[in-house]
Amino acid sequence: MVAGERELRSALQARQQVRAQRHADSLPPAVIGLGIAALAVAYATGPSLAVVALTPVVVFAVLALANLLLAKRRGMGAGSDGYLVLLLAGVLLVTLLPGVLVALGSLTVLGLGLLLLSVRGSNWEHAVAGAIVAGAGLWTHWTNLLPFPPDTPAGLLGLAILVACAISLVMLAARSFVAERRSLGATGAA
Amino acid sequence: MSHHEISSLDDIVHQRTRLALLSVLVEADGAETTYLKKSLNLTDGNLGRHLGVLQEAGMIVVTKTSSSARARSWVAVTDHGRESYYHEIRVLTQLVGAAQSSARRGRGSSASRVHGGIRRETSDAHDDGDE
Repeated sequence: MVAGERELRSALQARQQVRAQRHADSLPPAVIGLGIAALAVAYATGPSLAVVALTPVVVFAVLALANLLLAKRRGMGAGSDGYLVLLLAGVLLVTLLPGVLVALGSLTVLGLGLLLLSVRGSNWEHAVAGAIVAGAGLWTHWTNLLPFPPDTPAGLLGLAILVACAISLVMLAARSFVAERRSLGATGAA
Repeated sequence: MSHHEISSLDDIVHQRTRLALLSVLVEADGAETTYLKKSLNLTDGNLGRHLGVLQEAGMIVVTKTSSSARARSWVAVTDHGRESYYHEIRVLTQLVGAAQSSARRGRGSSASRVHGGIRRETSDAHDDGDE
């Protein structure tokens, strides 16, 4: 082992443990994935503008609250991943900048949310997933796939994209959760 | 890795337990002393000593908070502490990376020396056979 490696390894392990205890890697894709699933249900049962517009801000609020509760339960701070910044941005979009939300679409905003959190947490795999979801959101929104009724081919494609994004993110979250449990088990900090 | 970079390592932060403490505090954005003790497997005395050193260096702030049941101490990292932590991690990453790549190069060159030796011996044997 080279000089300084022990110190570096122990510091990075301590950081990893804190992130695992807050579920900082699994929580964002899980909650955002479930939010997208809710969006899919909303579209499938007849798009309600209020549900679609409020989904991002509700998802960001749930994320911030869940992170706060998990951190508080352990006796640590809420971290600096940017959950509150995201919530604030969501509130701002709904209240003061609805035009931006209309231009981007809810799926894009949720994807951008995951991208932001992942970049802050240096999780590049999740950042790519967030970028893909945001890209899919822009594409479905700008090609007007989602306003179609879900029983038309275009509407079905839009719905299928939503479902695929939701399932992918939930699977990503499950994989991160297993990695977090493994990391906590290895350090005996579960 | 230059001498300047190595000498820029701060003894206060470089100590393994204190670096781990700062790592937890930076990532969590503050923590209770009970959490720090448990997560890093420290005794009260050990934690107190390391927190004292960091506090004296202006890297952390300890605040006593009393809930209804018991008094608690909350430890928060200062901007100076955060900067020192990131600097230490950056320098250590460079140091370890440089040492590992030089060790690989060392292994590579000794391996090529061995291979070279084998090649030389083989060609010598061929030369002997030719004669």
